[in-house]
Amino acid sequence: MYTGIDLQQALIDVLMGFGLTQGVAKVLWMPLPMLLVFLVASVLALVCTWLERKVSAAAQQRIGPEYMGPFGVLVPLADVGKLIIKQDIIPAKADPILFTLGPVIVFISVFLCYLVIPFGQNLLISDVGTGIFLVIAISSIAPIGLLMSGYSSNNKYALLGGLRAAAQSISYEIPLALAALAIVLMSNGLSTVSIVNQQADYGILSWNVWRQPIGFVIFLISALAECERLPFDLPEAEEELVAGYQTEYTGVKFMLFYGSSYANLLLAGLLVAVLYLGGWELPFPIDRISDWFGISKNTPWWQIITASLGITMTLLKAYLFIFTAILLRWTVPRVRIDQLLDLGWKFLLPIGLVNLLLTAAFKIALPNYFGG
Amino acid sequence: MVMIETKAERMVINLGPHHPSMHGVLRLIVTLDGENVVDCEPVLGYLHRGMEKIAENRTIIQYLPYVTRWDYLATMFTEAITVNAPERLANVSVPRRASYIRMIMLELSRIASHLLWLGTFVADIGAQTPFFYVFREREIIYDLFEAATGMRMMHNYFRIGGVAADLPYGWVDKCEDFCNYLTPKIDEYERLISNNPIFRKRIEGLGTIGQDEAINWGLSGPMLRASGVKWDLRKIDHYELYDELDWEVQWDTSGDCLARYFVRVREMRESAKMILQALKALPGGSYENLEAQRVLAGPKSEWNGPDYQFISKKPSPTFKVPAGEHYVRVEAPKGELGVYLIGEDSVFPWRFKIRPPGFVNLQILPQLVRGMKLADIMAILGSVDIIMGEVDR
Amino acid sequence: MLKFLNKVGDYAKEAIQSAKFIGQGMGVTFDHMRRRPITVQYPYEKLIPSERFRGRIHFEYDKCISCEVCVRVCPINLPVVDWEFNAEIKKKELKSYSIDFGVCIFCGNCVEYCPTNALAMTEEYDLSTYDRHELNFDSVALGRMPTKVTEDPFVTPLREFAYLPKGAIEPHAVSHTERRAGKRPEEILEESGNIGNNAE
Ligand code: SF4
Ligand code: SF4
Repeated sequence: MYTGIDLQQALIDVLMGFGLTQGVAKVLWMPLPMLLVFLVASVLALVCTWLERKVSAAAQQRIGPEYMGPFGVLVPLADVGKLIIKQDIIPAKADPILFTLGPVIVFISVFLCYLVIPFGQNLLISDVGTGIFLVIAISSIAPIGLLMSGYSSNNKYALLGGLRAAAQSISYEIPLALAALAIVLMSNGLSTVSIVNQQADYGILSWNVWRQPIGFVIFLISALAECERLPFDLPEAEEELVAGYQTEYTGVKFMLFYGSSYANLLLAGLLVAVLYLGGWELPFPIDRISDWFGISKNTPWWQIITASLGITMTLLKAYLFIFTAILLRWTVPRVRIDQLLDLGWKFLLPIGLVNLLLTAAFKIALPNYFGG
Repeated sequence: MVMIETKAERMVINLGPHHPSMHGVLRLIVTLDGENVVDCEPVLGYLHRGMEKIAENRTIIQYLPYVTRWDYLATMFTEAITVNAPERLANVSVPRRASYIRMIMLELSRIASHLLWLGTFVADIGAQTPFFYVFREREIIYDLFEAATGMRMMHNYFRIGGVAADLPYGWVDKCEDFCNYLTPKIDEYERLISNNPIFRKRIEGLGTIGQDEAINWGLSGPMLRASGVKWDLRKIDHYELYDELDWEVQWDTSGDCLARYFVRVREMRESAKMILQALKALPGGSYENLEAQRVLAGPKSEWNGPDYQFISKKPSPTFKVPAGEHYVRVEAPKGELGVYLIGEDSVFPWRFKIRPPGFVNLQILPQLVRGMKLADIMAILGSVDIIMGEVDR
Repeated sequence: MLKFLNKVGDYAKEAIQSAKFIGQGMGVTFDHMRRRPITVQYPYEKLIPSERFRGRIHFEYDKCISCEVCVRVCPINLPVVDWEFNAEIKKKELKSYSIDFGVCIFCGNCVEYCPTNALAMTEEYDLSTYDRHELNFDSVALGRMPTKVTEDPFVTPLREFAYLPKGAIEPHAVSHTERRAGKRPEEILEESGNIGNNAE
């Protein structure tokens, strides 16, 4: 099978060229992708914050950041700088350990999920067998952090926000998992790479959106709710809870919250891309093109082109989702807590189950189209 | 069936005076049972400036600049009531042109107030964007105000017997432009907000006030009209020259927040319609026309007659409030704005009691929010439309 | 069973309706993205204050007759009129005059009632200082000419709505030399068909 570009092997080969043993080379290699993914994810999340400003400004007939760098692209950096040098305040009667631990847990749990996000056949940190399940499992740690910080802030708004966050995450995780499960059913594997590969055959036509339209909608809604974005931003509902669980936070800790909320949004975008929009695949099967021109798939320059195209496609799809999420945020009002839970338990959950059932049925009935 | 008995401690939470959605400095002491509101107690007075007492040692001329600080979003109305009270007590007549100018200004102010209400109300529910859109339109109204009065918010434009100055050159044309521009914009808001399922779900059937209840609580303005009472002081008191315009009282029957929303949105449309009519019917037409006709017809022309003045006689700085007492009211965007004036033939009024609509309308809030969710407090409070400057005075 | 299916159908209809209206709302916000921003980029762009704008007060020393009307109509009796009776010319002689703009609310009463028009409102509105006492303008400071937005080479002046040509809504869209709304006297005459009358 065509495997595409393999950086790990390439680098290990280079290092071994310097006379290192394979073991040492592998150890040297290990932290690199992690660091890379951490940096890339941070930068992409920062881009999200910039996008948020620009899109909201445009939707409100404003200009938004303009003078910091071209089109104000340096604003997120200024944000980071500002938040880093800000005084770190722990409220007098707060629990300092939990108060500090809260944002850290949230941050780590979000960034861990990037482990299994593929940007190409081999462009991911680890193609673990549990793949998508890992994401769902790890991301459900985040509410613990939120609850912690809400509880430890010694602030009633924060407490309410933390409780809301917990309730919300729990109730939307299930439909999210159900939607993902239907995909898993079709691709016969939890691994993110196999999910994408299963959508590769006919370009845009073989993407999962067409086979899982209901699941797609469920996933979109639950992903928005998991990211705590309007219309589901109850934990930090400004008009009700001032800033929810973030009320007492400043400086670096606030930055962790802020950063992880956008990293989470980006993660949701990437997941949508991977699960439903064919991951790194182009709208038309790229292999055909290489066949046409008679280029071998293993030609290095062709590999680089496909890899960069793959990354671009993944990001494009993810940012499409993010753009929609941002525009939605600046369009709709917020739902109420009981309506939120109603929507989760009484609408998405049964529909998710039905969707799963239908998928299973189709899988048996039409094995050719539903990954039999 | 076995029920798990849960008995949660109630949480007392202090919303305000500095809370993002407390419309200034309202403070609500809310008792919560989980997300449910058990009790709510408004605490007022954080913006109290002693407006009534100030009035007692100022002449009306001196006091006029203060009044725009009551309800700083519907500024023209506060000025109107401050001049109407001594005017009626002293039987000062207002020229027709002045009266028309006043009506135009009042309706513009009503639109401005309702626009801002719309923005904050929807923002209270969570949608931020309409807030920016309404500011775009409100800015235009304030540009018009600035051209005519010299200031955007604190106009000091109404005078006993008329207004401080005639409309400036070209103003009538631009005001017409604005009214024609506004209606499509309101359509746009409605497309954005009115049918939004989340908005509907949040607002429909929320904070319902019955007809009797509304009357018993002394509500006024859109709060009352949304509960099925067709009560508009412009029609009932026949003040200014509102009878000469063709317009309808906007009202609704369901009495919930959604009805209040619709009443206000429709009132904006109605006001735009009224302004267009008033601009057409303005005695003497636009300023430039009036001046041209005056010059043309010479000094003894009818154009110098009492109907075409913007003020009957400029009040002297020592205008005396005659002895006597009475209550005067206007239909402000928030409801019935009234003044109870007692004069004793001195330059200072003896008593200047203000009846702010927001203060009276706010009373019903605790009853409405009891048993609702925490988030509903903001929605209901938003739909009441209070301005703390006026509530606390 | 049928009832259940009906219910499901209603539910689906409602969901589709909701999606439609949310889409409609997003259409509005999306449409705004291609519209020109309406914000004024202060301090690079500034609106030209209207002709009646009530900014800093200008005071003409020689016109003042020390009548103190301005003090009496001011809501807070703000202007300080320091005068002395000169027995020789049997007139009040103004020694100094000051208004503290940290306290003034720019209501314009003093200007409106001054019998000799010694006071006038200017279009100057950016008065901020680092020390509030600097805002206490004496007669010299009050006599200075106002700064003008239109004369500042670093600023793009924009006209306010009431000064735009008829039909124009947005100041960015029109050139600042275009004629503002409102008819000229000769046009009004022409319209009313009174040109003949005018000649007599
Ligand atoms: S503008 Fe008003 S407040 Fe200022 S000095 Fe004149 S009268 Fe007093
Ligand atoms: S009212 Fe005019 S003339 Fe009289 S003291 Fe004041 S500035 Fe001078």
